[in-house]
Amino acid sequence: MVMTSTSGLASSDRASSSSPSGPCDIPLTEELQDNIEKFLTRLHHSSPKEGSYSTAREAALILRKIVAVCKWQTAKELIALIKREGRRITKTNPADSVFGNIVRRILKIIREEYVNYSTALTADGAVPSAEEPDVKESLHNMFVSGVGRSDDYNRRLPKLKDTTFKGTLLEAIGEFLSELETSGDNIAVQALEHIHSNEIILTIGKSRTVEAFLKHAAKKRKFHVIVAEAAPFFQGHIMAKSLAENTPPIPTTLITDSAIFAMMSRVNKVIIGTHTVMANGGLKAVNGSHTIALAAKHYSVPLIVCAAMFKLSPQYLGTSDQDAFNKFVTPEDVMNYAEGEVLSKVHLVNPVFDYVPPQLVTLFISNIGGNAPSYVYRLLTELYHPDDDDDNL
Amino acid sequence: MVFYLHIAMPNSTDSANDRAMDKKEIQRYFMTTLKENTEMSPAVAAIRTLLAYLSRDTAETMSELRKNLLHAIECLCLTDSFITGTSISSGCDLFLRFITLTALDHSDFDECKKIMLHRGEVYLETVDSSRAKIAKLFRPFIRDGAIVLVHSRSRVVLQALVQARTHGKRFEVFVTEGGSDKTGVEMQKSLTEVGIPATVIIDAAVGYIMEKVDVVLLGAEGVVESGGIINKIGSFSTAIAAKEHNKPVFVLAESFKFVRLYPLNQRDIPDKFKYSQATLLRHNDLSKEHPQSDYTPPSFITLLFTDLGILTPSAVSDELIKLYM
Amino acid sequence: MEDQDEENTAGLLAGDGVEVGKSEHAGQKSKAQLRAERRAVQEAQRARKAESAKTPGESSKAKAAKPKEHSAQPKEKMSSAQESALLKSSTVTTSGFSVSTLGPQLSSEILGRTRTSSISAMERIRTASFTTRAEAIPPKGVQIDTPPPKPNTSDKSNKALPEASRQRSFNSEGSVVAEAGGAIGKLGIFSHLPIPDRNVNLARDMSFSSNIIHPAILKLGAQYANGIISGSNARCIALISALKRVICDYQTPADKILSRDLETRIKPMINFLAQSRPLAVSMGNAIRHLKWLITHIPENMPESEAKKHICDSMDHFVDEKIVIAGRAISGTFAAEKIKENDVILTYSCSSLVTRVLVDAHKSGKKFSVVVVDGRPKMEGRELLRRLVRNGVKCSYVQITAISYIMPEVTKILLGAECLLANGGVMSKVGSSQIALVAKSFNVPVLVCCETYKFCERVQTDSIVHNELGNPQDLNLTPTEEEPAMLSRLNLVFDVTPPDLITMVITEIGMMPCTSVPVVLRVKHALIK
Repeated sequence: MVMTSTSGLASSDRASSSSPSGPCDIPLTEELQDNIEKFLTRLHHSSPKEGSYSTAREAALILRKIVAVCKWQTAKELIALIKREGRRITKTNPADSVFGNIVRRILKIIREEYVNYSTALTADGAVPSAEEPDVKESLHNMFVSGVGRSDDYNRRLPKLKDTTFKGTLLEAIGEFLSELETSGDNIAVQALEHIHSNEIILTIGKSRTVEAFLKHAAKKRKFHVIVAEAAPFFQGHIMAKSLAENTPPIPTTLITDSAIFAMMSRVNKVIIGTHTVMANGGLKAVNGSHTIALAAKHYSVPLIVCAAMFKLSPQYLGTSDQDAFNKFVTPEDVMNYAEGEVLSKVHLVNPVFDYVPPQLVTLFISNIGGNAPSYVYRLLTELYHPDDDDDNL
Repeated sequence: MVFYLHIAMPNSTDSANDRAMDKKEIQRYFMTTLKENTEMSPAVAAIRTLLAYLSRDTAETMSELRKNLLHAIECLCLTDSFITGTSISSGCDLFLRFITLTALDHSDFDECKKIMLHRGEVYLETVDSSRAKIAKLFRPFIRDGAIVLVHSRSRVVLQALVQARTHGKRFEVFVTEGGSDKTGVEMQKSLTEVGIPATVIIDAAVGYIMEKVDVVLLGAEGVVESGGIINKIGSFSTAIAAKEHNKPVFVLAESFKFVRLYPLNQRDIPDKFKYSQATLLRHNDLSKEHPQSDYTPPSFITLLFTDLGILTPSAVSDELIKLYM
Repeated sequence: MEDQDEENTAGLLAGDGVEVGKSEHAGQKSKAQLRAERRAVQEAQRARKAESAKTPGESSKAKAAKPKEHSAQPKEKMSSAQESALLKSSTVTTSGFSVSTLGPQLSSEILGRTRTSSISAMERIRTASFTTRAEAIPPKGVQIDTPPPKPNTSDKSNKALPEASRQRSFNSEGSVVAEAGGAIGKLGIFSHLPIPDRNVNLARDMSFSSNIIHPAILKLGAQYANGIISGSNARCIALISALKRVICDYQTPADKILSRDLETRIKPMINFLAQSRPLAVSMGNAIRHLKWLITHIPENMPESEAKKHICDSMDHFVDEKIVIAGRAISGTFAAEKIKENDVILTYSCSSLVTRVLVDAHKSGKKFSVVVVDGRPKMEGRELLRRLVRNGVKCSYVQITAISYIMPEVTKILLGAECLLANGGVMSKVGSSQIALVAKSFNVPVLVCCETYKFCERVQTDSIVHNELGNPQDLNLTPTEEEPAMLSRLNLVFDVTPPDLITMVITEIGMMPCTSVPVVLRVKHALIK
């Protein structure tokens, strides 16, 4: 069972009609509609071998276009519009949390810019106040506020000097896009703080972020990498080859997934990527990651997860039930159709993700620095607005 | 709650002649409040009592008010009841902090007091909705067909389970008996009344039952700074059993139970949290007495469901630091 | 280019002395040399793969069929004359199932053969080994344009061999380079373990003074090296059958005594087998038993009677330690632990676990099985086929998906290569991972193991003592390019720490895995 912090995805459908922001009837342009359809098809057919970065980028581009092209009047309308489209896309692909993250991120940007812009308006030309209101409910706020929050994002914001609200908004989204683009590099530059000489590092499958991270470290340090092949998609083979062909080359050993525990006793560090970081600091990562994490724990080997901020999701895994959380692909990779006779009598399962509980993770390295899994809750409050966490999306 | 305000009003007008409440009055007010509102947590009753006290206090400066309040809190803690001090203490601490925070913002004493009373009422109103909020947060975490283990009686847990049931979730509950006062039996009754199949097990059977349980739910008397909880004795052993079996332990607690305390181990918990006032007064040698609460460290807790949202244990300290800094 | 006959002789004379130390040599070689050699080896292997890919139907059929008959691969490597000679007597089985019917059959056959064994047989062996060698080992420094091999190789076997496979690389001393042994891209912690290369290894071993290796053993070595016979029990049974044949063919020289001489004759054969693939603990224990039998033969016992006694005792060994033990484990103890509606997870393919599951199913219990499989061997498919054939309800997943499937599982049933004296369980690589994940989901882990696989050795990790498989087996496609810095590691076994094992089921009862030394102690006391 997966749910956002206040309600499950299932209930979000029901709630959508009575969403407090109200129904939204701003139409999309045909071109946008087309873009979204294409994006949906691609998302639907995406193989588990592809990384989440391209999805994130594409989602951000589509949302930027919505902001730029559609005819909205107030921030409130825009928020409702983006939520509507966001809901439509997440519904078709509930296991892929990246898209939802991007939507929430953009919504947060809209809210932030709205507040900044209106403060700038009232101060008329003054520098927008750097202090951003802490909207998250807290014990502190419960005592000092006395009255509830009242901002409804419904004011029409006039032109301020040469810029419009839309202009500043697009600029902010542009900044977010470039943050997205540089996130991999920003993670990679931290590599030297984490990898020392002659280490033996274990990783599984292929993560774009981890690849860049290791290659960056290889410029200065000599270390050995063990790559688990990550059956049945075998991305580890590509990863291993890429590392070994790097300049300078990284000595790499490819192992089967079954040898992970055997090798772990000699490993200094485990560095893996992930598809999503859950709200409790747990991971939704490639199949086999849970085994790696357990083995690392067994030998007290630190487990480092390289994940850009856009992978942080406000979702929790409720119980150990993985059905809604996981994604299943054709079992052809597990056993090919040539095994006909046996195949018809056997139940084959080919899940894509593993859930890794937070107590098995030692450290997250994101584009803004290193954090313990116990601090993820805080990063989330910085990234997303509480009103977008729940069934409003 | 509306009902309560009605009885509070005549009470305050009764002795409206600006006379401050004395010790007996404070304790009586507290006990009546609790008795008349069985669903109310002692922490809320304490806050309410202090608010009533504040409204009739005659102090003229902030420091005097503070002194009076401290005295009132002392009286509250000495109330000869069978409830342990944790929840009273957390309520009182929060109230004091609330006074300090308001005083920081406003220099004029009279106006300050007015704001305090206003904010106090607003706060009590929000507190009223907190259990419903927790229940809503918790709902998706219970799966159809789940087997839930609950330790003894907890109002929050009860409400959360009842709400899950009314939303169509089907699950089965095991309730521990809860020691000598058998509060677990009450819990079981309340659950079966709404159609949730519930079975009482003896406290000693926790280890036995654990392997078939899917999720463990605990209430809390106090949520401490480490992110751990102080709760009805037996909570710790339940959490240990759950951890051994890798079962999730969810704590359901309202934010007014957050208490500024950092116990290192069981011995480090202050006596007033472990024994009722009655016991403390009666006995000199507490080592022969059964404690009523124990401390469950944060490493045994998966998540805390509070009216502030779903928190990891480390987020509790975040809240307390923000409040007290 | 030297004459091939000379090359053969040279190789023979060189014996194993040169080649045993090959990995040490390899370490001292220049990088360039190493790389060149490795490339040559790779090319050869690629060609071999391509060749085997041409006849996939044949080989898969051979694997799928109940392996009473041996697959085509070794046949191709032997001359037809030798082949028929060997196959006539070959009824070795790789399956634990058909064993019970095997013992008497084997011994009668062997007794029959004793009469015919003569100088001509020795002659045949010699020729055979020459032939084999000629095919398997090309002359040193062979280039692509090697002239067709010598006349005493039959045409048929010639054709069967790919051109490229003859271009195996040799260094100037004529010893084979173990692939990537001590190379730069390789993880240093495994340099103490030899890396096998099927053909090279086999070829090298042929260069023993071949007349002392019995053809049955030669053949067995090839089967071990190629993985045709695998699995602890199957290897042990095959070994005993081959050794029985050796014993039947054995004739005590006039000036020697059987109880002293036979052991010295068997020793090089065991060494040969150990080089084709490291001996399993089960095999070690069988050999120890055989030696004990031989040394306890009274001096005055007539030769034929002595041989019969030894063969019968070895049959008895198989019967008691493997067949009856398996029956006891399956019928008495495992039957008790498999409950209605259980979901039993098992990994890879253990003959004993297969037996337990099939027996339990036949006894009418309702349960389902999750077969977990791991690369590169994918032996779980064999288990899956056997279970499906018997009508057991099965699911099949890759080892990476265990964390997904584990919440549904109620019990884990694993086989073992051997049990170590510290309670560790050495088993197919990946078993420890299954146990690890099972522990985190509170699923009990049961290991089925006959006590003859208990071992005095202690081991705390999977690296000190292990076996390496062919690294090329990890390739996804036969033509995979390999950068210099990339090495592949194909571990065969791993050791599961005792704290991850709930119980061991043996023929003498259910016990914690830490009781291995107790069983060993009691056994010793009994023998004395």
